[in-house]
Amino acid sequence: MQRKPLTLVQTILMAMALMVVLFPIFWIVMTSIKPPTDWNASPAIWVPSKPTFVNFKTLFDPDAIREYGVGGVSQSATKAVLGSVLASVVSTCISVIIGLFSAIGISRYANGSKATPLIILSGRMFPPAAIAVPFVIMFSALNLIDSYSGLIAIYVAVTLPFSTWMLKSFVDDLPREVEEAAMLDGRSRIMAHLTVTIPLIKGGLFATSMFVFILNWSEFMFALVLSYSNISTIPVQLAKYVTATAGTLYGVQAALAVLAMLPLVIVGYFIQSHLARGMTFGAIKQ
Amino acid sequence: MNASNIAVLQREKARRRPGAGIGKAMTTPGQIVSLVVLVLPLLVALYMSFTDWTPTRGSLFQASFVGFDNYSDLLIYDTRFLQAVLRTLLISVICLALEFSFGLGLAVLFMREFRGKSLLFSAFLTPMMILPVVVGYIFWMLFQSNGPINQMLEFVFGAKAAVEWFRSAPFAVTAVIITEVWHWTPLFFLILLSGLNSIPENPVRAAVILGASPGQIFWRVVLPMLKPVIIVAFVIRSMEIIKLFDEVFMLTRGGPGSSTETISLYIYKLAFNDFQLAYGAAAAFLVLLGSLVLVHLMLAPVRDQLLDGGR
Amino acid sequence: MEEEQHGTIDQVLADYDAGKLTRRGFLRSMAVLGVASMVANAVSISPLGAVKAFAAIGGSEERAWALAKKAAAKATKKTLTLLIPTGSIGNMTPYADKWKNELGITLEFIEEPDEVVHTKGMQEAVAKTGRYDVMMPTAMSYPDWIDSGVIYDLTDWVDKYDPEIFNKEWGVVFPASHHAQLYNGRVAGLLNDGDQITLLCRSDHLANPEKAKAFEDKYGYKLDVPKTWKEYYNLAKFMHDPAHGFYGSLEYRSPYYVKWMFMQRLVSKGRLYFDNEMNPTFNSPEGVAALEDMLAMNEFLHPDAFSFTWSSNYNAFGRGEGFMDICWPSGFKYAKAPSTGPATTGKIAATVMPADTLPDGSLLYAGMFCWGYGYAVSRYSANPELAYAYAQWMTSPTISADAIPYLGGYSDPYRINHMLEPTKRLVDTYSKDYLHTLYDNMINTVPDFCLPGGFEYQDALDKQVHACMTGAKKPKQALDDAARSFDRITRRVGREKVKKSWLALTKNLADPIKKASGADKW
Repeated sequence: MQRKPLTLVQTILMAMALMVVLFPIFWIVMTSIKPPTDWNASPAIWVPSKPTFVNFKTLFDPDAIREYGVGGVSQSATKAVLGSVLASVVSTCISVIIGLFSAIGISRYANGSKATPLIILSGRMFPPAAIAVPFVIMFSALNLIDSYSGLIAIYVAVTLPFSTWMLKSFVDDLPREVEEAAMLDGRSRIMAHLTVTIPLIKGGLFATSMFVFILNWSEFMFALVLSYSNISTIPVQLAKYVTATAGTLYGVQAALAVLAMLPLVIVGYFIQSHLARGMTFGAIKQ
Repeated sequence: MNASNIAVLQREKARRRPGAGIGKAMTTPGQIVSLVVLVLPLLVALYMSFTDWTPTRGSLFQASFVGFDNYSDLLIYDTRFLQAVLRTLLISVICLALEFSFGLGLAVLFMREFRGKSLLFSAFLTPMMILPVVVGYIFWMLFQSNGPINQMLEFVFGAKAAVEWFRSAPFAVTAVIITEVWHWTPLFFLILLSGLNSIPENPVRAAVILGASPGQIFWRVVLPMLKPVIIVAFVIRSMEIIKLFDEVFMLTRGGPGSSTETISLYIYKLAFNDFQLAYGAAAAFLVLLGSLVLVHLMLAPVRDQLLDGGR
Repeated sequence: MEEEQHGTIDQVLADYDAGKLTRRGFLRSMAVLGVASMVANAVSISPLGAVKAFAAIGGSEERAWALAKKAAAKATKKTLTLLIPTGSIGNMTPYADKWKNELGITLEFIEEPDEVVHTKGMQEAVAKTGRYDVMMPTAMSYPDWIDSGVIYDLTDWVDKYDPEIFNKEWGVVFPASHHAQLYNGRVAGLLNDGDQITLLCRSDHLANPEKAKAFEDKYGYKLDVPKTWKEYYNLAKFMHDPAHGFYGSLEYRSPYYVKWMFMQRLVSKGRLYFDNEMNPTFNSPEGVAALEDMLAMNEFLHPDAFSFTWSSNYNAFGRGEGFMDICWPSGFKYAKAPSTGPATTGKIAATVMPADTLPDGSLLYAGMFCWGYGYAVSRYSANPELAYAYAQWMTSPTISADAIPYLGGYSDPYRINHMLEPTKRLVDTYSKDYLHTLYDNMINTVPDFCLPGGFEYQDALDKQVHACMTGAKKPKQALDDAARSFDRITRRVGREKVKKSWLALTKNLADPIKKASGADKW
């Protein structure tokens, strides 16, 4: 059907919606480049007259942070950033690999009962605050508290439903005949999967990995509960800045927020055609 | 079913069987991980919920068994828990309704043709890509008394329009709703747009030919066809919004008073401020039970679609 | 060898007291005899006389240092890890070098936001990582931390090494010596921060002759620091000048802080939080009156009152935005220093917390000891003796007098010698008058909810008081709802357990307060 152009009213509505969507992002980016004098100005300053990147530097400089007023958090964000990178990347890789094999197994061999998806869905419905406690108990017995291994283990478990189900829908899209053709060629099942199935869902694999990465990077509660002094992630550090008795390190907090956002916005852009599939456990494809 | 068909089926089954071993092997790692890191803690939490354990009573295995006392306490005496549940449900319903409306409106707009569509599409998806803590933080800044939202209110409505957002309950709740709606409307937009794009043209064309107005076409033809998609969107969002924690934590920490305290915040307080671990576990299972019932009801019409992977 | 040493030191001390040595000579002799320079210094200026001063003041520090030396030599882990709240580090970093150079121990500080310290301690009770050696909570954490086994009962060490916390001349001021350090009569931690709230006023406004005349004309008594809560209200109303960004009072209305404003007024009216059967007593006419007083004050408060944290509050007062501030002694410290109190330095008149009138017409002076950090020793520490030595050393009468004045931390005076026989640095930081005011207020302090489940209680009360202040609930309803929550908490924690702790806590309070609340008969 011929698609009609926008009417004037609709254009205005779209423009307003766009402004609402972009304004908060604009604000936080502006705040991150505000010099300290502009941070808490009344009335608030929208665009700093003398933008500066000093906030980003301060973020990684413990001495500079300590200077900022009484009660400020005197910790730089270096450990948090490195921690986030480590935890997110490693757990994403593990989750996707395990999820990939599960996906093929379920899609091609109908393993897993009909109840499995429901069980997995219900895992998503349990308030994380309460399940964090058994983790603390288990991990302390295994000496995994305050260690990245523990955090990675949880992240893998929590994102496994997503990686499995999202990859399953990509594998489902691939006709069985392709693998069967490879097997007729003389390859074993495993080889068929490795040399045919997986390469053919490359795009889906990438999209799933990025999606799981977004989930891990954003995770807050488990990191909050499991981090003592050895480990830290960006969300935990941001919360520390904001809830510290001197919550007025506005520019520095904003700088951390911008750094946190940036990878996800970029990644999200690249996988946006697969977002619906990821968010709905593969139920809806774009 | 005659004998020859059965034979055919048996032969088919035999042919498929060699792969079964491989299939099992492939799904086993995932099952092990789920079992150890998901099911086991859940069982521990379940056991915990029937004890009176807090660290001040020693280790978990020294705690005494109290049966359903925690559960009855929560449902009968703990007004703060019940209020948190109702509050979370209320906020969820409002948010979902708003997200659906705005998302649908935007999706409908995107059914039109215009320039820069793909760029705008990416732009409108951005909010849901941002970490929940960062979203909460951004809006915490925006809603400050000397922040831009108050500035804009004053600009439009005059000097008295500025609001102390975090100082009064209704405004704080509104701030939470606005934050949540901003964050997740893009998901509804995305899902509904996919749905709209995959609607077969013929029924719509037929309706046009039959003289239906655009309004009628939309309400009586398009929306019913969108039902499965809409339900999936609502279910997915409901599951997540009931656990609302990160944004509220950064915005209000549950305040003022406990007027924005969601279930997750209350359970977090129980577990990590009061260290009433057994009690908190019981609360979590009550929430799980409630969510399961809710989702089951909502999902009924589209169960198969979800299980078969959308085919 | 020891006998000889003592003999010679005694001689030097006696000679100095008799005037036979100059101060320089005294210090030199003491150094030769191996006495730490800090001790010698403190002894040389102590008004107690060198002999007495050395025998006791130096003692606690010396004993702690000796223990530290022994423990450090045995230690395999050469770091001492401390869990501390953010903002407190400035009192401890000046000694890091000494510990590194003389003991070979590196001090490692793990800072957490103050409201998280309790959580981290409880988590450690479950996780048992052994990450911390010294932990620095408020006294409100002691009951739960002791019960969950995450910190040591320090009583035996205290008996053995004597940190002199109950000493009549330089011990921790009573009753804080008890309610801020003990749980059920046993020592759980060593206080290192005298967190009582006092009232600061802008003396320049008090001295203003026009204001004085206008005030006296209006109210019929002289313009001065307030003696009672009624006078406090009058002053706030009179001095409130929002047009010039000058507000009557910088009292707190923010979550976590607002409850203390209520509790303070409640105890001034002669009411404690529970009776001797653990029934809440704050939902009484006195409690309702306290909330109504607070509501009446709302119009004379700083616009940021609902979001104040201690640091933003200090900064606001320091910038000159308020006539009065109810704050901890560190607030005085910050307001007095020109760098942090540009508008208030030299212009502060401080007083004990206002009194209130009891039904029999007499005035009751009561103060709140809220917060107040102390050192505890983690049960999972690899070096518990070293950790205890650190705690005793840092809180010894001599070292603490040295540590408190540092500006990068918020430790406040807590020993009698800090307040009544202060060193020069203490006087420079706090002023002699204020130190005396601190003593006068400290003896009347009442503790926070230093009970099992203390954090649950304070949260329940705090939420309701906050809801009342924001207009969401009426005073009586807020207090009744809080009382109901309290009953549930008491039931869950164990009535007998909490009662035991409460009775132990209320046994050690100033007599007028015990009499007014009926605690003297429990």
